[in-house]
Amino acid sequence: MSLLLLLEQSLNGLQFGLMLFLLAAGLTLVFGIMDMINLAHGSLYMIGAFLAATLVPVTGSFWLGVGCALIATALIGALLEFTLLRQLYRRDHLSQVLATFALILISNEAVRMIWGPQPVALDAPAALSGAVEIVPGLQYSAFRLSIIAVGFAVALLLYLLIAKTRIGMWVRAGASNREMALAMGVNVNAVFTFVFALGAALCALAGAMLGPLFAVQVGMGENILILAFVVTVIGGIGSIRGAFAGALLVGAVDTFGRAFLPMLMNKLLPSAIAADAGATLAAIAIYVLMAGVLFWKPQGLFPARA
Amino acid sequence: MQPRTAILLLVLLAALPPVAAVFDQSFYISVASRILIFALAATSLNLVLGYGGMLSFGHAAFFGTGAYTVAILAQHGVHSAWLAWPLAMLVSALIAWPVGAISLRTRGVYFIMITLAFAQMIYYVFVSLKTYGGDDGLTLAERSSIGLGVDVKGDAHFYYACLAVLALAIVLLARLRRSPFGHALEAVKLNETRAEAIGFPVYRIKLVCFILAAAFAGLAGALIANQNNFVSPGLMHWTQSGMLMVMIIVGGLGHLFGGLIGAAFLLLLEEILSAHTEHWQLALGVILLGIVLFAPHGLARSARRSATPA
Amino acid sequence: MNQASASSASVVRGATLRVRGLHKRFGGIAAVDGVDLEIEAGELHALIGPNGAGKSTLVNLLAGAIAADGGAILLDGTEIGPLPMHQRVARGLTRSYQITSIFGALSVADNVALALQARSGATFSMWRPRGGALRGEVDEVLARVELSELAERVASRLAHGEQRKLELALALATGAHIFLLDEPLAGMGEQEGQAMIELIARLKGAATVLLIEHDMDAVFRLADRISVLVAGKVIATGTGAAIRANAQVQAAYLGDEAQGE
Repeated sequence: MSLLLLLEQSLNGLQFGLMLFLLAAGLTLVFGIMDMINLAHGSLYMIGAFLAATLVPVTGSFWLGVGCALIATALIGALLEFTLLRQLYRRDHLSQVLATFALILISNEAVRMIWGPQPVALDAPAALSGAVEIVPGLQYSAFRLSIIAVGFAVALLLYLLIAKTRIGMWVRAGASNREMALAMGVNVNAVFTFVFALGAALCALAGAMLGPLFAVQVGMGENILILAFVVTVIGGIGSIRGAFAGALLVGAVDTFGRAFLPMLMNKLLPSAIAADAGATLAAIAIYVLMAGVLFWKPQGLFPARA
Repeated sequence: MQPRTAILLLVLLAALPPVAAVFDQSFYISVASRILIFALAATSLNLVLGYGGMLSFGHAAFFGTGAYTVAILAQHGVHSAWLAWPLAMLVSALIAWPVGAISLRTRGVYFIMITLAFAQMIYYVFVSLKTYGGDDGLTLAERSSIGLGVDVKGDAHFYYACLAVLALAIVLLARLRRSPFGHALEAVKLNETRAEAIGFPVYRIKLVCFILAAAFAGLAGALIANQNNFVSPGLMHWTQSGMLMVMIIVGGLGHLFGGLIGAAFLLLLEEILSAHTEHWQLALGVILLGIVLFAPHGLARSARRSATPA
Repeated sequence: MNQASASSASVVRGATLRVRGLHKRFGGIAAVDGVDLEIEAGELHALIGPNGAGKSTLVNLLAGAIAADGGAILLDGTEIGPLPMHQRVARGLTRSYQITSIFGALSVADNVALALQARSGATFSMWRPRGGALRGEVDEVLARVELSELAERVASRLAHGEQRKLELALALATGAHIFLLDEPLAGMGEQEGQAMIELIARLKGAATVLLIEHDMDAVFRLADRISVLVAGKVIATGTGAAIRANAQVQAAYLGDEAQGE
């Protein structure tokens, strides 16, 4: 394997990892603060991508369209929290799983009714459609680079929000000790709605940024949701730092696994078996990673609660 | 449910194929077989979820593993049900062993998510196994053969095979409930810490329950492979696990017939709704949401509660 | 019940419990900081100490709910430190809980039957119904804690004092010969407390008991010997009279007690 290929795959892994972070950040906060399992998180990702696909042509600008989609999805998230999910915080995990599973069915069907069953196109901005030569001999997609930039920028903003602001302090208090947060007289309901809307906006951002790379279609949130769960579990539920570390780890392991495991298998095994074995190992690499982390650190890498 | 009611139900279910034949509605025999098979899968999940109190979100993986075991054996020329179906149970159980052993070290949401992730892992294994169809799935050349003069290639005979298997599984579950293991399982579900403190090997009890349930999910998988003459990774997608969970909740968690009631309700609802609208999943979602919010103990329990105040 | 416990506990009434240099840290805090204890067979040994002294942590360590960072726990000379909780129960060591921990959804009799069943060793039998043979033993245990009349009551509907008795009954039914009783009098009124003290008194000599209790009257009435735990360390062990007279104990603990906690 050449150095250039390694660099390219590292960038791919970083780009994927950062988008997973956007998804996992909201998920881990909702888990940590509300002790709530939200399967519909992936639906917000889907809705965000569809809204972006509609709003980008309407506004005529990629970034303006994505911004509007972000706000719209955040509003949908807040509305969902306010009308429905709020009633589920005190229920057991099973009820939460079922209710949010029902929300997946509903939102999938709603999206299908509005946008139809076919995938919808979402094009990257024209200015970023080309490639950039980052080192001699390696052309890399400008849009993918912009995803990396956006990912880092959001991670930084999120860090500042959580670490430096008053609302961030409330969120942290909620994640590490809910009773304490209640006792502090924090307006918990408002914090919950805010966190949920924030998570929805991050979902929409990930959906909009990944839209030009993957297909924008019904059901797109379902597989990536599981990856976001894996990230959350590896990082430690409720921990933004853990989500960041976990996301980059999962992004890297998944990307490298897919790029290099089939090659490795080709060298080790007869080619008939190697094709299957390589692809299989690559597909399960992150789950092996998760099982390993949980085996040695059942609370994840950065437990939010001591 | 009284034994007499159960026997009446069995007789009614057994009468279905001739009745359907009289009304020239043989299509419904196949629908009914599907219901029985999903009832078995849901009942096996009920063992883990309802009786064991373990929120396993990866049960479809064992269902799919059983189905693939039969399909792969068929690809290699093994068609005997007496060999393929027990092997389907065995393979599912053998996979559930390490999955359960690792998952049961965790608690709460971690357990939900790790079982979910393991199921997804098994799903991707079959997606990437191009030798056995990969994403496209695998068609069975023919149904398993039972012998003994039973020809399960006919829908009616196959229906009776499914009914027999389900009835057997429910009898086993009924026995298990009253056995020492059933009581120990109940103790673990109600108060895990105390169960350990009075000397129950909690971890082992949960693991045995988990593996046993996986074996029966594998058996249901063996049946669905025969029913559809086709298997695909979709059988073990996590949304399928979610559907099984929905069946149990609708039918009644920890209710002996919860799996059957839930599977019948959901699949019949699907039949009826999809005849009227292509967007039947929207209606299903709304109904499900209503059940979770307003009848959290399942339809059977809620009906019984309103009939006889506790 | 004596016959029942004899079947698993052999002839010895009670067993010795030796604790050597036991350590447990939570984060930076040493909750249990090098505890040594010598509890003789048949002894009723009380453990007292101010709140936060590490008493509950020590019980959790001895029962196997949490793992120690260092030190040894010897049951009749055998190290049980690495054993999980249920295996310690199988060797005759069990505990009760400060905060009542019973099977609230089941009847009182079914609660006790579970504890009896656990030691029968037929846990993984799945076909035969659990026999009615347990019923006789259930009655014996319930008679011992004076809950016979309430056998069919759902446990969650019992009064607090009755639940505390059931809590004790669950421990008794395991057939253990070493009991770690974590504040059995917690939350009890005067009269209920007296009844509980009577029940515990009957265990004296028949089993080894480590009693954690805040009620000093009960402690001084029941205990053969008393150990005082302060800040994770045993600062004194001796008879009631010796402990009362111990200046260090008075300074560290009993003095505060008079002013109320």
